[in-house]
Amino acid sequence: MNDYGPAPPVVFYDQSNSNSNSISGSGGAAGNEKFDDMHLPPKPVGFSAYPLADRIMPDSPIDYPTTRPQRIRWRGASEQTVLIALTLIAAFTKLYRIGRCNRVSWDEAHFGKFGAYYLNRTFYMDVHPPLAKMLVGLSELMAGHNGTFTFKGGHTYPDYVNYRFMRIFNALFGIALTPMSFVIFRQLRIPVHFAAMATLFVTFDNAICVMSRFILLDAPLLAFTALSLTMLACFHRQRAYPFSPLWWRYLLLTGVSLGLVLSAKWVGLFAVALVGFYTVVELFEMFCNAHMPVRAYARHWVARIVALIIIPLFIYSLTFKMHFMILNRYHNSANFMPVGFQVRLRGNPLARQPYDIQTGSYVRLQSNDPGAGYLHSHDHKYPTGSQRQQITGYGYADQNNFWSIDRRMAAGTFKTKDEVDTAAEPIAGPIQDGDLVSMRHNSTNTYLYADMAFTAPISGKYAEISAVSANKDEAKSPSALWIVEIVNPEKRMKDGHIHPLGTPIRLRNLVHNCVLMSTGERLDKDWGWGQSEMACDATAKSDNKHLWTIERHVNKNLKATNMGQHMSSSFLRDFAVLNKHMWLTNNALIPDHDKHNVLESDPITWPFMIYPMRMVGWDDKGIKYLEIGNPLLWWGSAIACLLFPLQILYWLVCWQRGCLKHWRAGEFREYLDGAMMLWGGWVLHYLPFFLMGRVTYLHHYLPALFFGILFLVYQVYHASIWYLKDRGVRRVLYTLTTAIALVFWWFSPLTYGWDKPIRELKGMQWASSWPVYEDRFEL
Amino acid sequence: MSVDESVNYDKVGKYSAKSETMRASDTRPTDQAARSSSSSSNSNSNSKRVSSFVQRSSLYAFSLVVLLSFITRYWKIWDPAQVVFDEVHFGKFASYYLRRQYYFDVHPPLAKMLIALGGWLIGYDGHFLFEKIGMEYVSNGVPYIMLRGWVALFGFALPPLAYMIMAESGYSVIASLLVALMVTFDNALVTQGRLILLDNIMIFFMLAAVYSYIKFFKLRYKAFGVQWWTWLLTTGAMLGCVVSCKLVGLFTISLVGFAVLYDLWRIIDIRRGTTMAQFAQHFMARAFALIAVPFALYLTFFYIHFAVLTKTGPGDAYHTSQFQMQLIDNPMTKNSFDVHYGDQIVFRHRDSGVYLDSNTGRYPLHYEDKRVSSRGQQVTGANKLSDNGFWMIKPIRDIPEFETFLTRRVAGEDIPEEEMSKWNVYDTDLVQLEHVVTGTNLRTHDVASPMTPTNMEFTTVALNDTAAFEDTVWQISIDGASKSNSTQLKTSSSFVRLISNKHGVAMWTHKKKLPEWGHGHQEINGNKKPDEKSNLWTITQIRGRKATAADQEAIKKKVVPMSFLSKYAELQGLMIKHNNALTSVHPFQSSPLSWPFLPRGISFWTNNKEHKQIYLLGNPVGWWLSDLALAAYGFLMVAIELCRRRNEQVVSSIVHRHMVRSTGFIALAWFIHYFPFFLMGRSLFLHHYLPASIFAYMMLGACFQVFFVAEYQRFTLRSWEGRARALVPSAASIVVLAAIVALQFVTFVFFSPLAYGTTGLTPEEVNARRWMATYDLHFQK
Repeated sequence: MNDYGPAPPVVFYDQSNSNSNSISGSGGAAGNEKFDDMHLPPKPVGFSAYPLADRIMPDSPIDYPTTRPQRIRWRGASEQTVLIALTLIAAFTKLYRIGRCNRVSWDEAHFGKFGAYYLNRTFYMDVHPPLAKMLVGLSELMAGHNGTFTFKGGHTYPDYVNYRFMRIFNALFGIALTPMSFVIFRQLRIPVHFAAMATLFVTFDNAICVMSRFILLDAPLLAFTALSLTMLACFHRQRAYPFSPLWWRYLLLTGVSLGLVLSAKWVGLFAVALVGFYTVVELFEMFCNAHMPVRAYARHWVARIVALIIIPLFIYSLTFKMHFMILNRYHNSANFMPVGFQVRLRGNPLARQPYDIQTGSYVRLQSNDPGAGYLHSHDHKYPTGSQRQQITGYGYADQNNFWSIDRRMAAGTFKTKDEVDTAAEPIAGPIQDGDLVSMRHNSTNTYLYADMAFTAPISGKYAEISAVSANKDEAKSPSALWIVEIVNPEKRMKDGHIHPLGTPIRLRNLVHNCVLMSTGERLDKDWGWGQSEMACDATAKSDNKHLWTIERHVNKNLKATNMGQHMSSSFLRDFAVLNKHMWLTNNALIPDHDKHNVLESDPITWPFMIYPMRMVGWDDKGIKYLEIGNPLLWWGSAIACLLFPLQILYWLVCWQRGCLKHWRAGEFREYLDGAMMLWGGWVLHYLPFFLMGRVTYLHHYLPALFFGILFLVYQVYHASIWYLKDRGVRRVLYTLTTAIALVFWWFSPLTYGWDKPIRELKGMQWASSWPVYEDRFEL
Repeated sequence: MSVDESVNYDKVGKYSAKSETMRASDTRPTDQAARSSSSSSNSNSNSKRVSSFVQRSSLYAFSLVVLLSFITRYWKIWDPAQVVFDEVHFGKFASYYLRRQYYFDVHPPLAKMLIALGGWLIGYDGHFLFEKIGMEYVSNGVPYIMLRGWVALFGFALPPLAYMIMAESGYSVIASLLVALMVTFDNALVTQGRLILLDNIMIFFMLAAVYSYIKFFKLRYKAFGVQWWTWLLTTGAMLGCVVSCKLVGLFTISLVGFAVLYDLWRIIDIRRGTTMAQFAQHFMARAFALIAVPFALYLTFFYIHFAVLTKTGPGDAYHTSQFQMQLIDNPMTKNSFDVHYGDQIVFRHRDSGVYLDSNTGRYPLHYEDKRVSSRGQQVTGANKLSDNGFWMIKPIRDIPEFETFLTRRVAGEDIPEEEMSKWNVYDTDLVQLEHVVTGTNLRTHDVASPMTPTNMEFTTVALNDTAAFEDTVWQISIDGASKSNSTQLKTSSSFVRLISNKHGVAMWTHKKKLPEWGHGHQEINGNKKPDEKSNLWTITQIRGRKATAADQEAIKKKVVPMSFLSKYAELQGLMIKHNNALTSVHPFQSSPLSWPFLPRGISFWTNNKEHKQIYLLGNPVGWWLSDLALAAYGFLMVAIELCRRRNEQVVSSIVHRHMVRSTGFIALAWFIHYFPFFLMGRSLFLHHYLPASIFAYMMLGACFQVFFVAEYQRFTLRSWEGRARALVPSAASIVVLAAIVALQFVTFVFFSPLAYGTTGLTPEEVNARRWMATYDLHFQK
């Protein structure tokens, strides 16, 4: 037998044959050499400090003690002074000559208009969630606007619109970036002077500056994104003190800020993803900590689900609730919304209709299949089949959509067609579930008729549906009689009668037992004008294609009532419908490659700012604004972000070679956590744009740029303290900040507006693709 | 694959230098047992308990696999005696090698050369061209049985290779046997494995490369020894061969590449004491053997390819004229004459091969879509050359000398060379083209073309119509004229664009046929993007001009020889271009997502009289079982990892390492040979999944070992020849093995009429085999 003993002599490297021979020579099984991996000594501190790469080390910062948390405190008055001074600088750069251009500039035309809708309370549809636009509306309200100005692009602001105030209100969000960057850096344990450098960098970017100076959504979006990062950084500082009051405060505030950014624009989802990744990593590390009791672990999960999922969703839906509450006037852009929502809007033509549908009522039937339109007939024949008059589905309201509905027999008084007296006069009174009715087309005096002998012209699967003239025999036959069946009526309309809007009905033919349906096909353009095909389906299937809603009801003998009181409303349903519609509309914004759009740009061109963008007309007299960033910041941040993966790769190799820099306990985690937060933010706010099919613009890069700038400073700080002495560090700080400020100043004419011919402004063309003097896309 | 690092820390927080020694003495019972038992099975005292049958079980199992593999691949290999599926291509290419005629294909040459090599060895002369599926072999005198038998050698080798890979990777005899038998009884591999097709050959080299790499990796403690070098170089050679069969071989190269990266990551670890110099040696050795050697081999096969194919053949037309002129008897050098003004010439479209033609017919005034035409004389693309295809090329101005020159030529006068050369046509010349039969000039004008409304209509106009003069002026634009200095217009060897001087459109045609009024000719019109390659035409002949021997000698002297590398570069570029262009929809193509579930196969061959068919379809039982195994492995690894993070040891660390490293390699192999197809734009077929399906079977074997083989870790410690492997398998494992193999075998037999095509099936029998409604078999009714 072989005695392996304690600690066998192991082969650590592959070179030597003699070593392995010595083992086999000592009688050990040849298998011994294969165990080498398991006997290697531990790796030096470095990436192994990251519990994800391996098990938790004793000196890991993830130790979860339960001592008192550290309060975040300002380090004396001087730090406050610095912060206030920096904010004042930011305020000056953002507010300087803010009211100079008195025209509706750039996308103010959109967002000013959307803001005005909140004042005149008219419903509108837009692809962005409402919060940021409600804030614009708030600023208009505070500025005293009454909601009548519609912000037509290029128009001069009238006296009663205090556009200056609105712009200042919006610029406040841009100003807020400055103190937030300061707090972020202080929370990442960067000294005051480098935190100040980061804030100055953020302040001195021309693109962020110019986009904060107009009434746009970018400033609020940026501010909320920065707020999320600020709260995450504060929360990160508390991770060693779980469930302490401060920990709770910042966790909940993180959730709140995620809710805000998500409600400003869907781009906020990237911020959610950042916090999500952070949380997943954190929870996984805790999972790996076998010391943590399961109960405590479960509490962590619950806390995060509440704070980071439920709270943001609640805020998101809350903004929609407010949106619905404020916008109470009808506009035809609301037509995609559920009827129950529409009838609540003031001025809706559908809102007031006679309630009970009775013999002699004129009705307009709308298919529940979206896109199929109204039940329609016109004086044209089918070219095939029976060659009778066509029945179609038509998308627009006209006289040919009106049908007169007559009650022929009450429900229960007939069983088969033989019991029906087709010659009898219509019975007066409201039409109920199961009643037998005839449908007379008003303008051509024909009857809705099903014929099993022919198939529908396009689909070919179902029976043909047609209109027969009133003076023909068929019009009196049972094939022209229909049984009304109510399917899933509105809660408040369950009286067995049919009503407009709230009682979807099926029309079942008395003879053929088939159901009137829209097949989803389109008729031929030549004879059917591309209208939808109608048919009669004898199979038992039943879906939206078989259901009809009486959308309009006209009966002069009856009094119109307010339909709103009969319709239930559901916020969740309205919310879901609106969000789905926003999603579809957003995806429909696809670029048109045949048209060279002046303004679109590919994500790949963003980090190096290949194509800045003209925001206004470029005539000699007008005030010209260019959406151009501070080139040093854009290029610097792009380089810093692109080099980071290489740095990590290099470090990994160094670590494997045991020559990674010597880190103090926890220092490596400290650095990498901060770097991943900032760099990860850049990646998550940038890369997803490559996957998007929709049009993309340069300013979509601004949130990523914010992270990029912070990461640049973060890297500069760490590189200089690793490699430089104190004096060198200070020199780097002063040189870089001065350079950035100078470049900002150099480009400031384009940020604050240039009202002379552009030729007189020299030295702006740093890259040949920039449209400062000449625009390659100028049409 | 982070085995090295992870096994160090078994207890969270307990890790310390002390625990290293502690743990070594601290008995992990499983490990300890494994070591003692493995060593004891080696010693003589214990080997008595094992019968000699068990000791030699690996040999018996291997022999069984060889036998069964031979039977399944060679059973009735002579049937059907007709051309099946892609034998159309690969049989034909082999014939071209034997005839030494140049052909073009998107795949690298090795596999096709091997097929041809077999043909050469058996004395086949390449007279048959395999034109259509279903053509008879016997009546055409093709030694197809020998050819198939030769190619089937590669298919026959796959199950034994699968056995060797599994056994070498430390799986037990029965797990290895399971994999080999599953591969043996897979209908798709059998179908592919006995016909004249490429895939078996490619898969053979692929598995050989994987096997060699495993051998190499196991020699890692004897680095730079003879054996180590042998297996490293063999791996490189096999990789070179697989990529020379099909570019899919790049997947195998990247698989080995990932494994090498993992290996290098181990080696560079400072704790092994490797110096950077040693690491550099390791790195260079691998770079040489696994990058330089395969590439050199790849080039070598192309060198042989060009060395064999010296004569002109069907592949000429894909290439540049310079390339074509390298080939013996090529029509370019045969017919490359200078074009002179006054010549009556024929234009042929390079891509579609039609001739520029005009006839007395006119365009109809109204088209079906209610557009109006010019009602001018038709200009069309005709498939056959007739008198209507001759056009006289004229200078645009009336030059008196030209008139006299022309009359002298018409009179048949023999004009000296110097005088003729004054009337040469050059690049960028402005010309008119007169249709000889109808006496009209070619013209384009601002009228929409009959079938392509965005393009301009081509028609002709009377010679004396001065109003239309500008429309009849054409600029000659020779492709590549600026680069090669060959600015002179020549027949055959110049590719030329005809660009309207006024409108800037180029003469263009496409595969669409005109309606009845156009006699089924192709539409010709003016393309508004003149730079496109599809606008290229050649001038195939000059009326009355024939080459004399002296002419040809003179032309031959002018041909600039091409170096091998420039030939190779040109061919490689064309292969990639045409491979990416294989996007046309094929009725039997399928999406990669569906392959593992085997929703449908590919119809290879049918015999309507006897209701026989060959239908490529994997063994559904085997494929579904291996899908399960893949899913189980993924699930298991996640579960084990999560447990490990919570310090719960599910499997011993030796088994775990084997599952990560060896089974992980199989999983990676499956993934790499499967996933990239999702990114490909070209049309894809089920047989692209066959390499991955073999790795999926290996995964089935690996999972079988995890779940059913007792004493897993003892197998991981020995090479497959070793006696330690000779353990009596448990009864349970034998039962499961027998059950799976029996199921596979029964399904194989059940579907074998579709794989071999030897038995006709009644519609009921066909429908019984439609396990999924999407199997589009023939003769269902």
